[in-house]
Amino acid sequence: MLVLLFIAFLLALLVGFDVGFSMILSAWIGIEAGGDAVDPAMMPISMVAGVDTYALVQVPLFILAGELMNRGGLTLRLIDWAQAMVGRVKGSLGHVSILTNLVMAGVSGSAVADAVATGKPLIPAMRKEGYGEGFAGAVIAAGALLGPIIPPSIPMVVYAQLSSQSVVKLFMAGVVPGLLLAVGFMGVCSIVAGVRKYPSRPPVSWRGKATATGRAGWALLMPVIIIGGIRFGLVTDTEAAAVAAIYALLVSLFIYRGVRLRDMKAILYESGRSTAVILFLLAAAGPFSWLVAESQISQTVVDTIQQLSTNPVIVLLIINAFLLLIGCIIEPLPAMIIFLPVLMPLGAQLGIDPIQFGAVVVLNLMIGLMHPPIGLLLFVVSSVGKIKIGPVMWEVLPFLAWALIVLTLTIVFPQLTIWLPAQLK
Amino acid sequence: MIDLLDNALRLVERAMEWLVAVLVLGLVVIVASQFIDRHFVSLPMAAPDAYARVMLVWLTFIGFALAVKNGHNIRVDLIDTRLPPFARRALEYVFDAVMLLLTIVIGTNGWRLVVIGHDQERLGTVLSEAWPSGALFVACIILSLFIGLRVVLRLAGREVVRQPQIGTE
Repeated sequence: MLVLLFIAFLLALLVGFDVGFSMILSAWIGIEAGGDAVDPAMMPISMVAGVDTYALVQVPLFILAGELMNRGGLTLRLIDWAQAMVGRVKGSLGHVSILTNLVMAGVSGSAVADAVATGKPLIPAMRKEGYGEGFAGAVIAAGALLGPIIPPSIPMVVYAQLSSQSVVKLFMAGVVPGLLLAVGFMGVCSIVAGVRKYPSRPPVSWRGKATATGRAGWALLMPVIIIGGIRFGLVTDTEAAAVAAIYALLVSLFIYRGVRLRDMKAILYESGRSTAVILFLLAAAGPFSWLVAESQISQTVVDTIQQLSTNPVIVLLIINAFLLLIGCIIEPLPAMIIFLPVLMPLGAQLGIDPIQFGAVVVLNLMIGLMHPPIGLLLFVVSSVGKIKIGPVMWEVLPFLAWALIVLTLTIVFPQLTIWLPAQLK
Repeated sequence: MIDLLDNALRLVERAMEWLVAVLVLGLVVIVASQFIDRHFVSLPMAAPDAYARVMLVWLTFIGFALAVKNGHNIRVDLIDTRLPPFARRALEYVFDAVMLLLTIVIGTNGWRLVVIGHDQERLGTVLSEAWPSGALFVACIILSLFIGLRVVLRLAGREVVRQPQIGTE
């Protein structure tokens, strides 16, 4: 019966019913079908408890910091800085996109926001310089993928909440895979630019580089403040989010003057609404977790996969193949909230480090953002850059291949994700 | 009558938008005050994290009600966008009916929590445990009104514009 409810939930999800309400619906039917065994008050209790957590306070604050950064002109200055640094390289605008996103990833934690912020100026610029439209979109999508991998990362905060792990350790677990992704994406840009003879820009003198760095200095300091502050224990992860938001506000209002006071209500409201949409999923996950536990789906999945193998690496590879398939139909955050309660016991039973497990799951699901057919970033860059999605889907494949290589490396070599968190006191 | 209700709910929507904006600002202030308290000046505020949690609960549920009103909630639009218009329309009636039913179920059970929590002190604060449960209850009322109005508008032949899906990652 409960397994049927789980299937009914997936059907409700696929026909387009709200994801959070699909979870609540299946849990409610399960409760009603069980007679008086469970009090329906369990639903609101677990919904409130799902978000009544201090660690989640950083979600709206990081979203606000990213929103202020993009609207306040910090992103444009970062693009100018990246052009001064890597402009003379062949296919420089591709490198500029990756480098800008790498710095922005240290603040915003949201791939979609980063894709919009960098895609708007860079896709038209790339097309003007003769880059193919597909490549222009693909490189922006790949760069934006760094947002939720490099700390801070909203999916990591959600994972930490679901698995009771340290947010800071999870943040640090994303650093090495994020840097590997960035280096590889730049390599892909170099190869494509070399083959297609994409242009470079005139070299910028050291004085020009210093000027560009000075102009972007306030923006460049943001990730240093956040990651450095957390790493050296000056601020907690939640305080880092507040400091980042206040810093972005002050720089946007008084230094770069990209935001006016009268814009603030809209910025605050939109940050709040984006937060609510994410956190409601966590609230809905409360009653849904009951359904997952009662139906013993986790145990069935654990037993089935363990029959195939008990080798942690093989099991992680199987889980990742499954999540990549899921990523073809469901957005990453809902997918994480729905399937993590099912998959986590498997990791624990096989002795897989929960930090490595978290980093791998987040990396995998974020790759879903750029793999066809429904990779959200592909649609975002297509819409922002006013380009056809077909060529973007084709051109994103080399970036996708590198992302899958990095994913495999993080599975096979746990040290890539657990070494840095282990250095924290 | 429908116009009157529509206008009244627009006013509620504006007020809720301000509430969400103020809650986000409040969270920034509260969390920053903890940093200031630890590093610079001792501030006379007990259990700021407990207040922040209550604010986050309100932000989540009220913000979600507004997101549903404007079609910004998360859905998987893999199949419904490929359906013929009449089937999509029928599906939207079903979605609204089910969401309304669930909202009423959660709201009525949520009210029980408000009543029980009214006499329970929230540790370290002057608030009772009714405050977080109250957020869910209030959001359910607002959401029911929004969905109810949407159904009425559809039945009256007025178009309800659904926003394109926005990613959250």
